[in-house]
Amino acid sequence: MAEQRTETGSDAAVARRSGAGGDAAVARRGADSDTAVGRRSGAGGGGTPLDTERGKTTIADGVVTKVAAIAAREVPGVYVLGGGAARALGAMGQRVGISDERTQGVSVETGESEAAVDLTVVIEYGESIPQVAELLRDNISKRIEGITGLRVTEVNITVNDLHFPGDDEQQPEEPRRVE
Amino acid sequence: MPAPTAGQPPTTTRAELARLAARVAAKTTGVVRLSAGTPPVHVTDVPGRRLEGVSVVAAQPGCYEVTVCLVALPIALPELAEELREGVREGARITGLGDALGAIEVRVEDVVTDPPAGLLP
Repeated sequence: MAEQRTETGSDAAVARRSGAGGDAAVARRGADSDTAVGRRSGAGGGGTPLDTERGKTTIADGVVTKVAAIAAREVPGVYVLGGGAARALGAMGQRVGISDERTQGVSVETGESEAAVDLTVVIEYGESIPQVAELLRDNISKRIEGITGLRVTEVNITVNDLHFPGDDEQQPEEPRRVE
Repeated sequence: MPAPTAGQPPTTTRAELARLAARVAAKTTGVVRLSAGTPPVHVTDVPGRRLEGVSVVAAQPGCYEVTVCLVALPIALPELAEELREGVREGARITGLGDALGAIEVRVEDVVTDPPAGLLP
């Protein structure tokens, strides 16, 4: 089962410190530092779908990132991936050709047989954030495990913003004060 | 490993294994194209051309490890890799290169979500 953590922007950190309402937004299982060390060292060894006695299969991080991004977009209620800063930097990166809009807001860490995903999303206003987060975890884990054979140890989700339908409407231009 | 015939350069086995791996990869379901990798180390010079996406390295005298680096469709990649390995092993057995073939590594460098027409299963 993937480790679970959902954060709602910077408020999550405040909620954790104050203990008020934080439990709903943040659910941790296991110690983060231990998990991270385990990931970096990689579980490895034979007997996994990727490391058989007949040969080894290596999946590049970029592949896992792309699969996670595709899976995240499949979930209803997700407006866009990436937060404000990530989107701004992503847009700048796209202009100079060093980043891909499709994978912004997603970062992964992979070992030889496991993967961990950090995701930043903007969610449609009105949707249940815990429900969307759970759907994201399920779908991302299912897709990554199905496509790459890597076991997903955790999917950490930061909800960076809410999208209101009116957000996309163009603001009317101010009338010119001089002709 | 089959003994090299007189006058045949010893690198022929490498070239044949590289050609075989590239041929099998091109026919494997879900493979979009071969990739030299990042950095581009999976390249093998064979007589008359340069094969990108395959490297063949001696693991021990007379036995070569083959690495195939590729871009794939987002389908089950362990199964794709296994199909590719099976095809290379079968081809090596048929062409008498079975004993020269060591481990086969499959590196998936990227997946494409908008593949060229006709590639989707």
